[in-house]
Amino acid sequence: MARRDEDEFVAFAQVCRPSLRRTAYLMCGDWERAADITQEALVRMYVAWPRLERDRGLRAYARRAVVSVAIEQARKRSSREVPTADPGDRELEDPAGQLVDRLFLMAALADLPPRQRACVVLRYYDDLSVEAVAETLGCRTGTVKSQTARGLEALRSAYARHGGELSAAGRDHDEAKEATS
Amino acid sequence: MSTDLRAALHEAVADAPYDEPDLRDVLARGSRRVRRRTALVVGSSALAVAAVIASVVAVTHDPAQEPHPARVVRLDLDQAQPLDLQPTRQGGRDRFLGLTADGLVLRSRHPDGGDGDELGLVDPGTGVTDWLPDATDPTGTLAPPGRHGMPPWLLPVQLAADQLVLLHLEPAIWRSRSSSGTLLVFDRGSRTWESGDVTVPAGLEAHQPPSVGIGLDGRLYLGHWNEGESGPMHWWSYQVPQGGQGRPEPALTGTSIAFGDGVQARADSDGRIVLSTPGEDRLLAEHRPQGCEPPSDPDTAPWPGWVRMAGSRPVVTYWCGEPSPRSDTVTVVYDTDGGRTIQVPGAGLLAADQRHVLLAPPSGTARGMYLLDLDTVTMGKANTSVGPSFLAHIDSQRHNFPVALAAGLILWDNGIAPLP
Repeated sequence: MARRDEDEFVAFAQVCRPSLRRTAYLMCGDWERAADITQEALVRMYVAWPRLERDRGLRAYARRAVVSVAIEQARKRSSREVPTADPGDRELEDPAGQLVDRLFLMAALADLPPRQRACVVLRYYDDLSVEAVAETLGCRTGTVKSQTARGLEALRSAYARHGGELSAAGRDHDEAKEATS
Repeated sequence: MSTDLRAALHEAVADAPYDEPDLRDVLARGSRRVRRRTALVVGSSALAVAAVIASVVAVTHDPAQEPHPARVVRLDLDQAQPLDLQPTRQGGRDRFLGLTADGLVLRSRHPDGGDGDELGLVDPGTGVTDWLPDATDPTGTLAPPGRHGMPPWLLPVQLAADQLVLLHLEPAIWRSRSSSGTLLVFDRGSRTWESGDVTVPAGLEAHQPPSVGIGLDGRLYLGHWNEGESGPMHWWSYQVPQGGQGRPEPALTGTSIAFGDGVQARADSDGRIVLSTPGEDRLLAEHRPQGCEPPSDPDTAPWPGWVRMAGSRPVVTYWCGEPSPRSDTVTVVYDTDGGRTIQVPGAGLLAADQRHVLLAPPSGTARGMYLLDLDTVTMGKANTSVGPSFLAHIDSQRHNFPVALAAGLILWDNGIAPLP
């Protein structure tokens, strides 16, 4: 890679790495693994950097790399991990509440298949459109809608088993239609 | 309890623990991967001239075998003369995979609606393709989709005048699983396929195909890095065509091997070059090129560079200094008589045949490729004043397609052209 290209890549990576790491965390539930996922995604981006268009799509490409690595690693881990207790069985009461809420959310996310989890994270954390998620995951928009709907339904069921309620205001119109169609 | 999903997701990452970004690690790993990709993309096709290989025998340290200091001829890429080639190209899902030793082109085509790839041999003189019998029956191995989302590799191992040896490999994308594949041998006389299952007992580097060739003992040799590791390269060997679990070859760990016609060369990262023919090993070089120091950390020097056979002459690319995207390279052509070496600073090895070496320019500095004519630079005979006519620059974009030289043909960018 030419010196100028490398400087551009470093500048880009420094700016984008924190947000990529947060998306990776929501995809895997572990900050150390999220850092590893982000590093691997940036390595892939480095390899592709000379042929990427600078004025568009760099963040989308980086996000796509993070999600791809996270999905690969999730499938890898699923073959050797033993499932833990159902999140609905956990005691959620604690003085602060936030910590338990977060643990519950991450446990419920962990129960989603990797691509459903990716759809939920990209739609509701990264605020991507259905079309953008489809481009990120390399699938059709209908697949994104159905996968997101199933993911939301699974999350809602997990919360409902505990007596709670999960809302996804403003984003679930398409997915709701897909789920009921 | 009512929870808003969007708010919960943002809250979950609101207090991310401090993390020191290590972009140096990204740059080092990325540059290593770029190097491997540049070389490996072309590596398997460059084996088209390979025919028979020897088993590797340890070289003794008999001082009498130590090579004499070689005279060095250095070539300058900037002095290359332009060479205009007009290749015949394929497009779409139609691919040229390699060149046979007798000057045909191995072609792969995925028909619309088909389950697998078709293989054929193209006569570049007429453009006519001789489609081979279906290799998917009874093996079913060419059905393309990878189970884990990674496309399988179809690697030309040996494209000889009498047989074609191919390895169809599905990479495991994680280290805990073995990779599986099928060794396919096509007898060009009887037009029949033989096959055997191949298992690699560790995860392959998922983004690069392995290095493969047929040894002097007639076995398939397969070398690769483990996924997520920087090195070294590990080797296994398999019976042909039976395949099987593979026999570990620990004596070859960390070396690069070039498989030629009745000869092979082994290169270590310290610059030791061993040339093997049936029953004989010769030490051609003991040290890296002067001024090309290895990285200070051995772990960052996972491979010695790339090595191919130009006829009986080993050609090796060395990476010099600490790993970085701007590391220097030097490509060296060794004279088997030990009298002279040709060095091309800044160049990377792409392919070689009996009398040519195809070189890549320094990363990020130029486009196209360079063709070195070894007949013109007659090693051991020519004057040391090497003129620009030895080296030609092909101004062409090069993509991730196989690059190969054989039988007076050049294959690159999914196109074929005769060499001048």
